[in-house]
Amino acid sequence: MRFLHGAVRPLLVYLFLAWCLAPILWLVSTSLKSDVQAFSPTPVWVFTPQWGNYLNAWQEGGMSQAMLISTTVATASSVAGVICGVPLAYLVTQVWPTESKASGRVTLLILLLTTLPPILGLTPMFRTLYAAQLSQTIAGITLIHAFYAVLLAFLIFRSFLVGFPREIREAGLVDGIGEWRILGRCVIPNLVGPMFATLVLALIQSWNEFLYALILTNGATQTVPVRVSGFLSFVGTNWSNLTAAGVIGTLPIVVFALLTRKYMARGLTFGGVK
Amino acid sequence: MPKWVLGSPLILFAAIFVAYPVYQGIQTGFYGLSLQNPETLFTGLDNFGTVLTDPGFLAAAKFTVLFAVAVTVVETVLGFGLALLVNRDFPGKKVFFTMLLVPIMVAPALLGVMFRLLLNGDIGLVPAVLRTVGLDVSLFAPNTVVQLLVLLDILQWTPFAFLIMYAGLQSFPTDVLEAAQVDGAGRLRILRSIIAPIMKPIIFAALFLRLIDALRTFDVIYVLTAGGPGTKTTTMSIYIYKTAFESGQFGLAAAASTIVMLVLLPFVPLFVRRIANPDGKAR
Repeated sequence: MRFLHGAVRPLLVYLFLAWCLAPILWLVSTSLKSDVQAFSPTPVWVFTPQWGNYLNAWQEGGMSQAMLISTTVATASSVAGVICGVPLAYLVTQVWPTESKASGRVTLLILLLTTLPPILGLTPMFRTLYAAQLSQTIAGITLIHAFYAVLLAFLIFRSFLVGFPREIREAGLVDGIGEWRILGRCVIPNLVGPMFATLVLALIQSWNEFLYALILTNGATQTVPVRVSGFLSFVGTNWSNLTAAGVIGTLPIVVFALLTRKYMARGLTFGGVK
Repeated sequence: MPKWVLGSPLILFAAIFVAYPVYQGIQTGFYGLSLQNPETLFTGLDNFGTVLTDPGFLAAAKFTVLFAVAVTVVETVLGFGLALLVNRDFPGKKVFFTMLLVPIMVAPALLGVMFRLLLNGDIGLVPAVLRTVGLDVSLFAPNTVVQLLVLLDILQWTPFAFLIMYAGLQSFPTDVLEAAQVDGAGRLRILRSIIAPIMKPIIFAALFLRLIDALRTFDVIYVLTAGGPGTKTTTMSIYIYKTAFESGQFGLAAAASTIVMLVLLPFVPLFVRRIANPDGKAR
């Protein structure tokens, strides 16, 4: 492994990075080309940026509507996820000892739901929401995303609360303050960082979700990924507008992701890696 | 306020999203429900028989498993290698980490769109470059499309495997390494006898997480090939999706979902024991 010393090591690493980022850079560059340049059979490397593509995608392409819907759905569902996830993780780690049967069962159930492919729920979920007249509505897709947000939030909060001393709760109970007060005054102040991280990870998860959004929304309620992939057929694939829409839809997520770098490994593995 | 109120979100969610859909999903499998035939007609095990003898279902199952295993192994190995490479200071390390997160954060559906542009036979960058070196191949042809999809999955998800294993390497006990070096162990020897065994749980975590995710692959392949050419790249997710929402055969789709669930269920406790207990206790 001696050859990995010196300049070779960073070179290898940067080569890998370039390989990962190249498609995204090409997307950005296409979004700034004219239609003729985007359709050129030989790649065009030098061009004057056509910012009008972004205006087209935003207005005629319906990205303004999709962005508003995605923001609503992602915000509502991730806030719901955090609000439901905190007391649940508290119940499973503090009220019940982690070693207890009840705690183990709840955790197993949630891991089960996280592990099984979402496709298995698609048909029944579609029929359930249809029966509740929530199919094709923003409320319907928000509910589904909130469900997945709760799973994510629970697993992250659990991993943080497993090592939280149970004596604090016991002292609180002796002093006669209730579970909710203990949760609010002693536990939540220690969870601010993870709560923020969970919020952002749930936002990203909802923002990028495609399978359910594809089935459970229509032209008036499409989220960003469905809208962007819709360009492929609707406009006869106007590549410059499509790529502009893609950049618009991705930018907020990338910014959010950079805000939570610190928590990423833990969040991505549902707390499995500290 | 009683204790169970703390768990009420769980009870509520379990009722809305688990109990009823599971009941309905399993029940639908026993009915001949479809868009063409909306009356619910009890057909017993017919749907299950139809699905299990459908060559499309078996082909989708086979493709899904092969695809998932291939990408999982390659991504884990590459991610581990990369984590070892990066586990030392080099210029621009912070920028590297930041940029590496980008492919993970881009919506897989959008990535599919992106690859459609890059690989487009007429206007794509990749075919154009290949033509200049004299290779005039159609990347979506039956004999290359699978390798192509594997390659694209690697491109997107190796950073994920890398991040997990890099996080693991960060908490690596360095005194063990120093002791080994003092004892004169070579680099390969250290890798094989010290780093690999200590990293085993983390490597397993990466393997399992990637496998779970790869088994459910839908977005990229659906946008890119829609399961084609023919049914060559139809994953289980795409098969069930098409059965339900393109052919309108809800009964068949529900039966297929139930079968897949029954096959996957026994593996979940394995996953739980391996990685989901950060405190390390099996239950």
